[in-house]
Amino acid sequence: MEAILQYLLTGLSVGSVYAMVGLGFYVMWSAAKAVNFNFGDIVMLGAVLTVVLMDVGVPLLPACLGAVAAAALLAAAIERGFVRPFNREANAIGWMLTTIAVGTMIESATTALFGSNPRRLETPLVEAPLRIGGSGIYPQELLLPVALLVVAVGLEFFYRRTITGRAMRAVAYNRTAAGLVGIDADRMTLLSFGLAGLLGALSGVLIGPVIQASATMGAIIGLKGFLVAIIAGIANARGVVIAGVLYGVSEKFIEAYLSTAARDAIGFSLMVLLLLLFPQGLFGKAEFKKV
Amino acid sequence: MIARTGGWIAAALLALAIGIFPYLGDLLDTRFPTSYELRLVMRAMILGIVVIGLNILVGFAGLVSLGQAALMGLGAHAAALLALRADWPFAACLAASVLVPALMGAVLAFPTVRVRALYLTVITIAFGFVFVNVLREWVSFTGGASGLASIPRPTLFGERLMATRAAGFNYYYLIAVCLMLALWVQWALARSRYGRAMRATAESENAARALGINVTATRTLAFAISAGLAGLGGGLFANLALFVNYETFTFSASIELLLMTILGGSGTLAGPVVGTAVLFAASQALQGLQEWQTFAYGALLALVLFLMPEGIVGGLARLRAKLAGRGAQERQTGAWPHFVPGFDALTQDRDEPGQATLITRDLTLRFGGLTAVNMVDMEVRSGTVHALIGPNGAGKSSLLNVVSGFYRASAGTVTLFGQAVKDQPPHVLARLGVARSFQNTELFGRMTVLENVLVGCHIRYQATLAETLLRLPRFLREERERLAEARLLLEVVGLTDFAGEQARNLPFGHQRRLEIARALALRPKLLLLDEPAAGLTHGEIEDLVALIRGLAARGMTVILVEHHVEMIMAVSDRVTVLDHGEVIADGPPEQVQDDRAVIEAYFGHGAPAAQATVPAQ
Amino acid sequence: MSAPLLQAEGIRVSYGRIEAVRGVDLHVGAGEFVGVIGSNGAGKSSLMRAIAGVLSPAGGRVAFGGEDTTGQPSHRMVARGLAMVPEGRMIFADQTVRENLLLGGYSRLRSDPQGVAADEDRMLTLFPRLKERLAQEAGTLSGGEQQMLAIARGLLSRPRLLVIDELSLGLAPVILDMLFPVLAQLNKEGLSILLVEQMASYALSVTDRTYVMENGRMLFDGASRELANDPRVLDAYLGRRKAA
Repeated sequence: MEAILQYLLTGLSVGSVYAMVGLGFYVMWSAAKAVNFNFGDIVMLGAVLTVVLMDVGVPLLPACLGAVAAAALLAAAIERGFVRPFNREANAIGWMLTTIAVGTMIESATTALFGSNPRRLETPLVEAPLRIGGSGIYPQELLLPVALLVVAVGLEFFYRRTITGRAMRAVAYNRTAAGLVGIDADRMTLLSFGLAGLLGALSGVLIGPVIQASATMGAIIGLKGFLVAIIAGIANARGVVIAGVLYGVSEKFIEAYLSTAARDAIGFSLMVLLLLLFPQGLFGKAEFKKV
Repeated sequence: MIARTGGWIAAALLALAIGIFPYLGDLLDTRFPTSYELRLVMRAMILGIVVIGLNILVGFAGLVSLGQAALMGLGAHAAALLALRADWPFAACLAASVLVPALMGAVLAFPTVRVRALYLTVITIAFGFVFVNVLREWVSFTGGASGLASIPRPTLFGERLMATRAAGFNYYYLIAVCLMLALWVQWALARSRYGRAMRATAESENAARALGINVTATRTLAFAISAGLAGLGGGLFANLALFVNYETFTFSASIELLLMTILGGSGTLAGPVVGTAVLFAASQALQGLQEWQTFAYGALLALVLFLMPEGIVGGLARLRAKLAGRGAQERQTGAWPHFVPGFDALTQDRDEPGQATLITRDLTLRFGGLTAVNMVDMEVRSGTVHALIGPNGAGKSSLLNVVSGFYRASAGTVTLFGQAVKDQPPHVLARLGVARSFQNTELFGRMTVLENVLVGCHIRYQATLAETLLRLPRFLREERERLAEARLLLEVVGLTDFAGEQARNLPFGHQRRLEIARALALRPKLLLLDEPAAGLTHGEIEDLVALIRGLAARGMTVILVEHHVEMIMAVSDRVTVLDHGEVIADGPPEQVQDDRAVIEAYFGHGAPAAQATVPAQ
Repeated sequence: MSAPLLQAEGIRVSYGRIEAVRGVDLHVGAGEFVGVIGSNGAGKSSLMRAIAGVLSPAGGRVAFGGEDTTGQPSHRMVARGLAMVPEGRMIFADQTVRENLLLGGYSRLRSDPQGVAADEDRMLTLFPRLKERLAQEAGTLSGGEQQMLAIARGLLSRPRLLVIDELSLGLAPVILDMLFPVLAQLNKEGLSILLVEQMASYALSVTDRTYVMENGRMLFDGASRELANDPRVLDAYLGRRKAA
């Protein structure tokens, strides 16, 4: 029973990260019908830059803030430099290749500069695990679902209640119409990628202390976040949150009852199966393809 | 023609160079290809095979895989495990190394390519990660990090295969033969309906579907072939190294393969060989960079995409075309329609005269809250030209899209050639004999004019994939016949001189002609034309009218959505007028033209007393 | 006479190799109500899109308010005082009516929030039916209400020139009988309007001057009152040619 509770909590925790990263994909896709394919690198930079800043003596919180801000700026810059020029025509795939290229550069440069060994990201919340029955869980892990809740509610508030958020939704709905009411759609797309970067880097900072910071930490998280977004139906934020959390929890149970190796294999097969059954995603609406 | 013979000469030279290489030292009297260099060339050839596979996926089908290294690894492990654990002979292992990844490719592609081509890429990345993970963790089966060692040396027909002088470099030559076979497969695909279908789906999914191509199946096939070639490379690799572990087949290896494809020039036949050779040579030089090597790959990929997206071979071809273009002679545009003698044979498939080719009953189409088509009853007789008109947003194109299977009706029935066909996808309807054109001409822009028409012939091939790849008689006969048909159709629309031109370079009026020729290649019984006159000049419209009348005279049924009232009056036997998705008038053109409701729908009520100012014709 | 508010010269618009507009001149004076009519496919919408900056013209020149604005993107044109109600209305269906109105005032929402609020009230007096639906998602509105919303949204940027593309598209005559007088009233209050309309009789009854387009070219133009009885107009629509 306690074991189950623990799987649930750790699953919830890792699922929250997938959900946050999935939301990042949702934000990018809504704005541009394109994404940063190597978005996981933004997640990674959130954690790695925090460690780097702390190395030079910056205290924890300012270091986190600085890292998140820097990663978000980079995410926006990637939109400007690598997505926009290759996303001029409908169904273009150029942006896919260019973001992969830039992601490869970021990841290998980080490996070269930061080292290939994972580093600890010390926070007060990973000093001592809480005891739940026989097993332990770090307070940091419990922070993640809370953060997801804050992020999801915050995103909802941003999109529904602020001028910029509404303008972004307008761009997502119809770029032409957005331009005709005076919204600079290109600028909103840039901001959206920045916003997505914010979400990604934040989740990196938050998961960093649990899994340690390394140049390669982002790849798998980014991939799972992308898969979660696709399975949910990439244009549905609530669906992304639900799918992310569910995926995290089921992962932990597979891991517990089978093995770590089986975890990804089964999780991934499940994704393919779901996509076979629900081509538009679990929560997605059938897309209307104009002829 | 020059390009063709040039290609064969290049292939022959490549074969010669590869063939001589092991004995180069004897000719030059040096100890040049040591076993080390020989090994490098063998590895490059293996990568070449994998990259050819990737080129079929990326360059033909327009899909991207970032799990190609993992598929290669799957082939390598299939071959190694079967040899080690099941004592399978080499030939069987090699066959398995092709078939297992091909099957895996199909399983990965089928669910993903239906929605968005993009999803396949994500799934392939995931597959790559899972593959490496499983290899690493499942130590008892795969050996984990220490991998599978001491794979038995391959033997074929009792010969031990090795790349040594004593063995006559037989393994080296086996790899070389496989490379040549892969090039053959690539060439044979490119010049067949399969390759044309792949390129067509990449260029315009809608047009491909309208011509009877099953897009999901075509993409799945492309990925299966691509994965099979990756696996072949893997199987050859395992038997060369006699050792495999996961480290060779990581994500960054997949990026390297992709870079080779793009660098060489995706979609070109020589691109994979050139890209592999250049990057493989460069990577030997870049090894000093150590951890920055991957960075250099990323930077190079970005650089290629920005500066020469068509790659080395594509860039050179463009340059040559530019140079050749200067001296090129004017092309003659033929008059059209030119109903050449053989044309009647191509239009003999028709619905029986006087039959109702199309019947819709209570046909309704809703998008969300909007009803685009509302309870439409329509009947179109065979061999007639039936126009569908109405003001903007009246639902004409929507109706056409339902009839051709692109939209699924919310309610009501559609009967075509006496068969209920509701909810059938476009490619199935195309096979029944429905062809269409598109409002915004959807040509396959990067394919030649002739190839565009040949794609229209797609459904009338019977030769299987095997027959096609082996160039067996049935394929050759069919290809010859279709080619003759396609040329004939080009003659009908006056584009004979443009056969070798890329479709996107045609002037607009010619593009319309080509689209119609392509639709006719389907040998349709029912032809749907969506605003064929839009953007055409008066003279061109008159030719179009003559063509449509000519088709109807040969028994073809034509449904026409058009704004151009003058043309409708000239060409149609019957007119159905839609407004707000409903039929407001139906009858012969003269009658509809003076229908009060029609004039109001177009003009607004309180329209000038039409009958008074303009006498009825 | 000072330069007209909008002056377009030799406008050409192409989509790939399709030439939709083939060198068209058009001008709108301050306070004028100008119509462009022609059967569908004549190139009217493409012309409007080039003027409003939705697309860049392949040739020609657009001047608005005396300044060259050729190729300026639509969001800049809004800031300069040219708003367009697009064909098909393009309201933001997933946002509420109020949010749509707010977004209409986007270009001055930060500098002049009171002004936007005041204008919003004015719009609700102009279109009382929107008032009842303020909190509703715009996608749930009827076609007529959506057109009202689209016009109100366009007006909220306080344009000097309002371009309306196909007001009547998919609307019942009852709705049109209500909308056209509103436009006439707005024009009387000083707003310049450029109306593209397929329903020629409506356009001719409210506008001062009308252009007739066919096949990407301007056929002729003149005072709307005179064109209303000109048989050439109907011919252009129904493809009847006297000398055919």
